[in-house]
Amino acid sequence: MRTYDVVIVGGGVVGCAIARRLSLTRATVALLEAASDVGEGASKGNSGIATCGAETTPGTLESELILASAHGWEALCAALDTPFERIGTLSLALTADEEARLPHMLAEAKANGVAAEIVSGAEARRLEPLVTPDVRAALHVPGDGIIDPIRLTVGYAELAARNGADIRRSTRVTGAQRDGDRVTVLDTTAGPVGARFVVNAAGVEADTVAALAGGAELSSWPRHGQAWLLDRELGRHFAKSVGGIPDEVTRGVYVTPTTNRSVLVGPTARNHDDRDDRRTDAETLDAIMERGRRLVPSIAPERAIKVFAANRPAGDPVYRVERDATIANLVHAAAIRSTGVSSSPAVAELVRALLEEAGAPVGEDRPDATLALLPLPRLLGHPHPEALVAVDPRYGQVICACEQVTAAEIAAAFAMRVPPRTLDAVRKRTRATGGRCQGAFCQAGVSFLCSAYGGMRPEEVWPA
Amino acid sequence: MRVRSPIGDLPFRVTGIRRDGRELVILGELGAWRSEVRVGAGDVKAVAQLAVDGVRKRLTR
Amino acid sequence: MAGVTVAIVGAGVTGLACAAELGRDAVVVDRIPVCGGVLGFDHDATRRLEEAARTAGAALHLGETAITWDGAELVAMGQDGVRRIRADALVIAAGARPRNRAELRIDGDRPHGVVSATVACHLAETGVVVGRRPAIVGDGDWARRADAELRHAGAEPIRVRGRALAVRGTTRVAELVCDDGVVACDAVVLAHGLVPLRNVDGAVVDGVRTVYAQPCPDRGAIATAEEEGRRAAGAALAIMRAT
Repeated sequence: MRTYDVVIVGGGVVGCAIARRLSLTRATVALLEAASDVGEGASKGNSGIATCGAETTPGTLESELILASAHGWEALCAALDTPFERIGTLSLALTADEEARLPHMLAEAKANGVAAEIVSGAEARRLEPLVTPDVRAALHVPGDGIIDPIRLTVGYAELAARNGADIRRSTRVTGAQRDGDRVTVLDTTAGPVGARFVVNAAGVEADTVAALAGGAELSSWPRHGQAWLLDRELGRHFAKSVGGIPDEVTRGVYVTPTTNRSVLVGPTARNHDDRDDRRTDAETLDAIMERGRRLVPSIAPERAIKVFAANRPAGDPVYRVERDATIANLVHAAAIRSTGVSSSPAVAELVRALLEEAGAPVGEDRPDATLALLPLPRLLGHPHPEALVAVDPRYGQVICACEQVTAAEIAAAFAMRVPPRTLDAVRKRTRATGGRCQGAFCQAGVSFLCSAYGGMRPEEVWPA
Repeated sequence: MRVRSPIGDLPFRVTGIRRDGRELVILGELGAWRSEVRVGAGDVKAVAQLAVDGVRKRLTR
Repeated sequence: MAGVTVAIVGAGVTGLACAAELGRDAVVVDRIPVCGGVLGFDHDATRRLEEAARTAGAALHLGETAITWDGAELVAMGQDGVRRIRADALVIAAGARPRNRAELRIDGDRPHGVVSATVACHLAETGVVVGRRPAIVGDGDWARRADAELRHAGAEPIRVRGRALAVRGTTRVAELVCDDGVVACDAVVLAHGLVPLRNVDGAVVDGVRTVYAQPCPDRGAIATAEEEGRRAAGAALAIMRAT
């Protein structure tokens, strides 16, 4: 059994961010993820907006952590080969009531130290010509950005692995052994793992992990959200992320381009108690589409590529980033709700500080730590495809025509330290099968490459 | 010759043959794609073994 | 017309018929390294039309994937790298695919194993089945082909006659809820309704100087496809005369 200085439970965006941060120190680090890949929970269904914190409640931990993360996205994403664009958001007021709420939203942004402005309907339409002509006014937050939450999660994990962290997937924590007020061993589906310190970043399962470790009770529940993904042909015309005005219950839906230029419409937010429920239903989806069309009339269900659902970890209180009250070597990073992406860098830094306080050897960064991943060029949108082919002729072999993903890019995914082990994991890293045909013409080819590059037998790719 | 592939059936046409060290290289075209099949000693042995096994199965039926 | 070029994406029946009509003016690309599209390279119609196209002087670049069109240049990627084809008009004859899950509005869980009939067939042809008891949704050529290929590969497919409403199953497909009952299955094969395949950026919707020749017949209809190809040739020439 191997023993690590720090074992992180949970491979979502938060857990992987922590893994990356700790991997820069002298501590030995392991990350345990129950699913076959990192980023399979809430992080996979994230709407891809890295908010700069305009709408968080000032003075809360959530607000502080988002604000601390907001300025660093360009540099961090460059280091993690993750797409990020600071395009800004427009929250549209369509009624007199909504318009009346704008000054409060502006004041909240200012209290958070975030640049924001109220713009007229005409100015909103100038900033984003696709918004409804019925827009009366809007809150413009230029510091918000769009990000690929999955590439971010994988990027965090990959950099952690390059720095020696052990990213263990298909490893579910089933129990814990203690010695007094310290956890010593985590029992998992892949055998026992020794731990001098434990971080609970288990998302929707954070309460389960807290209980297994014998820690203080964590109140958390899944918050279900559904969304549409629309064609990239629509998304390329967008200049801004567009949203409505939040009310007491929900933030409302976004109509936002993603970094691969599809359009995300959603998400909804419904508290429930089935953490494995990731169902979509027509009624909810139709309601989302209707709300979306009120903001951007040109979207339509006919342009849908995909619909999906995910559960965010809600809790009371939210943002439990703290040392456990009873277990001396346990730190929680739980109930992060829907802003896990936006706060991940600062959450990771805070967890490091809490671990240091608890006595973990995470106080000093190694001078020889790897700080950046080499960016992988991709064919889609590349200005000089001839240059790509000159470097690697496999850029000439387009495997997924809808997203223009080449054999070179798929091979690179399999050469990662955290390589794909399923077709969906290939899609998360490369976009292959994620386009409008949803793999109709490339899924067979991609699964062949899973065998050729990844050594997976066909029965492993297609268990029947 | 005909190859069953993940993108469908393709014709394989042999256009040449050469030796590369201890390997036999069969040059060909998979439709319009240039292709080559490299056959090493181990491969020949494996194919021969399959053939022998096949004959043995028939003789012992 | 002298000195013009029509770029044609797709070397199936429609694209070849179009190329045969245009002769030397035609440059055809297809991502598959053989002609034939859904019919395959050794179908009579494919052989006949390929010969007609080549005899008429059309250039065929097979095994090259068209990726972008800007109204004047089609870019294709292949084993020889980048091919830039200057053209006065573009014909998209890239065929069709079955509707995907979102297009069919199939609700429910999202386990692995809900695939297009194209995938089920390609895999079955290489001996890999997407499930032992796959439910096939739809009732046209792709549904029949998937049924036959899956049976041949050792699976026991179930033909779903009603409308598929929702999938149930967390990591694997467990059942398909249809409007006429619940079908126990371990995979879902989508073979219902055809939509045109569009993956050339700049010609996905309303491309500049672009003709769409994608008849999407759900049953046979080689003749329709050929006719559509010839029509597209005329339409491409009309575009060029107009500009």
